[in-house]
Amino acid sequence: MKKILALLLLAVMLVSSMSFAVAEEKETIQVAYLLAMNAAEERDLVQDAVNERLAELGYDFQIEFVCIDFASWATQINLMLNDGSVDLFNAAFMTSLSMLADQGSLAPVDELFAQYGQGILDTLGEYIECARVGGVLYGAPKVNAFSSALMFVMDKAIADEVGIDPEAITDFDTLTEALKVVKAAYPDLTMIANGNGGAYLDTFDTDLLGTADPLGALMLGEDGESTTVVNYYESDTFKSMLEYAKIWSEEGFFMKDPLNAQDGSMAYLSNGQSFGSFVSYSDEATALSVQEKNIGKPIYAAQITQDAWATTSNVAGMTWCIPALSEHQVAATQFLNLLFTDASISNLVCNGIEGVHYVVTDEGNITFAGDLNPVTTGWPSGMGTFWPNICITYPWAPDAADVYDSWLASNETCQKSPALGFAFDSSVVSDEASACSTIVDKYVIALLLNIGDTDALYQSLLNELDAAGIDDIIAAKQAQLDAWAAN
Amino acid sequence: MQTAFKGIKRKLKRFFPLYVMMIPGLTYIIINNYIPLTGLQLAFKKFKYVQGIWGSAWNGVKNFTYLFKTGDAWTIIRNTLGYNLVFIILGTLFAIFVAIMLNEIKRKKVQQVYQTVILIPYLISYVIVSYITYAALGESNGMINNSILIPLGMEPAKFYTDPKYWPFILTSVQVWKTFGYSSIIYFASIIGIDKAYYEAATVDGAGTWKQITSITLPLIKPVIITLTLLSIGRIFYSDFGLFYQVPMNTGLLYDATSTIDTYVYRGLLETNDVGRASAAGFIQSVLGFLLVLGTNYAVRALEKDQALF
Repeated sequence: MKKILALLLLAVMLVSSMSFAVAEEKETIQVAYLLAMNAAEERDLVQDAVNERLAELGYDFQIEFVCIDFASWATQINLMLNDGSVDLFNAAFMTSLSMLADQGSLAPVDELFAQYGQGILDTLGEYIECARVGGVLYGAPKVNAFSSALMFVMDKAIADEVGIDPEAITDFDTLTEALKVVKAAYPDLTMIANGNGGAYLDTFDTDLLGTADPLGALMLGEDGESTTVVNYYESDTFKSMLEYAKIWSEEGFFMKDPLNAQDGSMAYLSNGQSFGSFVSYSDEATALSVQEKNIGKPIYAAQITQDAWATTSNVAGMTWCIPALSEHQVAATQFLNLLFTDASISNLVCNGIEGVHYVVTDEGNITFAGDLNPVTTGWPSGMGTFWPNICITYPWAPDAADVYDSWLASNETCQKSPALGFAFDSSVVSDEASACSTIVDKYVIALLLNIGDTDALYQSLLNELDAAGIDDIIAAKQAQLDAWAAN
Repeated sequence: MQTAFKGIKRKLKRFFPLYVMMIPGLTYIIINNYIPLTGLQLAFKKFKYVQGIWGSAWNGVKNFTYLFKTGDAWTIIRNTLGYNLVFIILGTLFAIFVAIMLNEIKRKKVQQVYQTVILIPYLISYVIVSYITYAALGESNGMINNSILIPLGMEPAKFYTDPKYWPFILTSVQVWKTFGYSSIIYFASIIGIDKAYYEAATVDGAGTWKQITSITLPLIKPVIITLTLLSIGRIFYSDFGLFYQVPMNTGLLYDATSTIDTYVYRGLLETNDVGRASAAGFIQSVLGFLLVLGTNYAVRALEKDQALF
């Protein structure tokens, strides 16, 4: 018995070592892919199609997708950065670009892009500057409608029934009046859904200067020209939000047990538990087209803040990078260049295979092939926006064929922060930054939901931030920003 | 010298098969438990991915300073040590109590049923425990507010916004979840006690209580000491699930629920800083190690035979 077992083991080892020997013939780059639903089953299908196209174009490398699901994305990528087992990845849902660069986990790409990535540079124009940390380029932001304004999306059926005109909602005051009307008709309905843990409002009209926390920011809504870094939590914008929060909680607009919410805010709109929710998009049409698919029922979107702003944080939130330890940096750059410029490869990764996953309609947009639907389809699964350039692919019906043109146009017309392209290197104040972010976690959600004694909590927030050294962070940001502006 | 060497050689020859059998286990321990110790140096380095563990530059104690940046250092150390002390004391007392009770059940079938039932909480994941807790304490649907306090005409309690309740909640949850497991360990050593002691005691006229205090407790004392020493070694660690999941990471509760582990997790979540995470781990393991040495020394001073080493 033992002998048979030993022989079997030996056979397994031999076979597995042989298969290793066969696989290593062509340079292969590993591309990390955010897994959604059942895309993994069709990975090979799309991968083969992409490799076929690469061979057709005369490249002598091939790609392999590494599927990682959302929950383990950051952890998994971090591990892979450590041993160089990934060659191209989207640094989304991870720590900031400047932090990754500071750890030495990203390859500097200035020369690589100049030599092999001309298409990337041409596509992004000045926006590529947002992926620069301390003067060195570390990646390519994915093409997007880069600017963002605060929107309120709401259930169209209910709004029509109680006679809300979304056009008339233009700021927080008109929104509050409208919500009062809806609340009177639907007393048990939540008006403003919040997401996981109680957050319901992104920072708006604010340039976070490339960091995730608004610890030291430019208040664009108050003065769009100014390059003076201020304490966001002492700004008029934040103070006025606290006043609205008081009104909204007294009117009963918030969810019950908001802190214990475990779903994204859109889920509550989707299942009819909430009338509306705040979102951030470049314009109302984009908010509608993205969120209507997400929520699955007709909605209105009303822009609350006046201008859509492009800031470094908005642009660089999803930046495609090449790890410092990758051994295939040239091939990775060439492939990234193709993702930015080659419509057929971009369509493959964003939408799947024509005839298998989608069919092109007469209007020039695409729809599901055969009897597939958003749930049964494998590859597309709505993940197109994860890839570098969705704007050269077919849009999904009901979006018009030229929907992405309006995205690109908005990048030309939007307001640009005076610090666009500047990203703060927070490693100089990392102690202060982590101390302050814990304090922010402790108070800000409760303050914006008006839980507890807002005035006293607000004072504690300011005092504790002060003690934790927020002024040092602001001063460091100001110094780096001034130095950046001088160049 | 010569003879000593000969002795070793003779032993080696004689026990050679046993030494060979030790190799796999030893290899495992060295790879899994000793080689990673070299990673402790990361606590004093500025880690860069391209340079690796050995190549990164030293940066003194800079990785440690963030822990003491705010007054939080005191809060998190107080919480970690305080909760763990309460857990060790209450948990041990409760577990021994339950183990002795189990032993007093005379019908085998009933005893087995209890033994299984008390283990169930230990097997539930903390994520699920956090929802069970939420079902009891929530404001809009929670059992305590809606089925007890409000029908009694009392003001509903805001459990998730007021830290004052949480020392009690966390302690009850922890004891409820772990007592089953630890009482099984004590129970196992109680049933290992020679029945002859109890028979002799009964003949001499000792009652149940006398038997417990004079036979059971003294005989399981070594187990109590070992388990307590082991828990003291982990006194600077906290159960992440208990302190993060059960309060649902609610900001307003941080004063009562922040421990070293959750503070480090929250502080470094955004930055993914290997050096500072190692620094926190360094403090926890080194202080825990010193505490175990200290406690063992204290035990040895009191009763030499009971000490671990």
